[in-house]
Amino acid sequence: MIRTPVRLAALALTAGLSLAMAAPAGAQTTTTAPPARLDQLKAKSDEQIKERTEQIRKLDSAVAGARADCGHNADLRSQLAADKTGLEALNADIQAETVPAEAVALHEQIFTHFRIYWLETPKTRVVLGCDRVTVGAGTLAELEAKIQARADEAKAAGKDVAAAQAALDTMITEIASATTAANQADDAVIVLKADKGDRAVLDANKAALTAARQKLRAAMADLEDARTAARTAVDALKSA
Amino acid sequence: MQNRHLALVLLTLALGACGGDGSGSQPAIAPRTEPDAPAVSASSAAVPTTAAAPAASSPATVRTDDLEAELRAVDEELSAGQESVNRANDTSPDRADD
Repeated sequence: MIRTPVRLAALALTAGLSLAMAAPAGAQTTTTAPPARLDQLKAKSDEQIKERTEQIRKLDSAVAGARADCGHNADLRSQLAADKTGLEALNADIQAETVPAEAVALHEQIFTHFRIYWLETPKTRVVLGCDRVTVGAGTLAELEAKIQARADEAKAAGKDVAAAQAALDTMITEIASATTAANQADDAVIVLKADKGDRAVLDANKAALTAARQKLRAAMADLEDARTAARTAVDALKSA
Repeated sequence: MQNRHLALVLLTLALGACGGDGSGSQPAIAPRTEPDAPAVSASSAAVPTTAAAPAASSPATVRTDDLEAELRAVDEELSAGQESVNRANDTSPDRADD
């Protein structure tokens, strides 16, 4: 894992504070003001939380502007709002903390209890991907209906539309398959919660995100197949 | 109206005398045929009734031009969809550690 200077600094601070806590009692000095390092930790925590609340704002804005909804957009926005509220409350706790070790533990929660970048960002992208697949599927479904109507007219006029009809049937199948796959991706990620430091949960979340991404890719491939079938149907009608 | 017509003719002759096209023998601006002629309305400018309007489609073929336009619209939607799915599949995290 590549760690950023920020996290390294936090780790160094954690180690330093841990060493301080482990130092012999006689070596400790009694002071009323928090150590300078605690102030630094608070400042860094405030900065990191503000970065994440800004990321939440961007994610929420993207969901709010989505042209379609696979079914979980409102739920996702509620989760993002809860993350924002939680991070702000956590920041208040950190800023009020006077015990260095407690501050360090709270600081770690910025990452483990929210996972804005590891979980909420990819989760939102999967949800938005599903939304986009839904838009594409809707557009293709409208086209399929128009081609079907034209094929019905041609058939009534005595033309052979067997090839066009076969392609239209393929369109219907592929559109349905795309919608199913995209919704499965959406359903799979919306339930994911931050791991709170549990490695098993973290790994399970990553696996679920990977599977959801694969579902989205499959959904797009289905839509492309539906589009190819639409082309085939139109060409078949031209030569009918 | 006659005065206006006369003024236009004089103006045309004057310009022609100036040799606007370099020849000096032809008016530079072609005279209008009827300056006060009523404007042609959009309705009266429609396709002559003697000419048959083109059929929307030949009875012998299935009309598909509108479907071609729909296919292009689908392509645009799918392009945007692919972009969104690509973003969802971008596994390089914005942040490396959380």
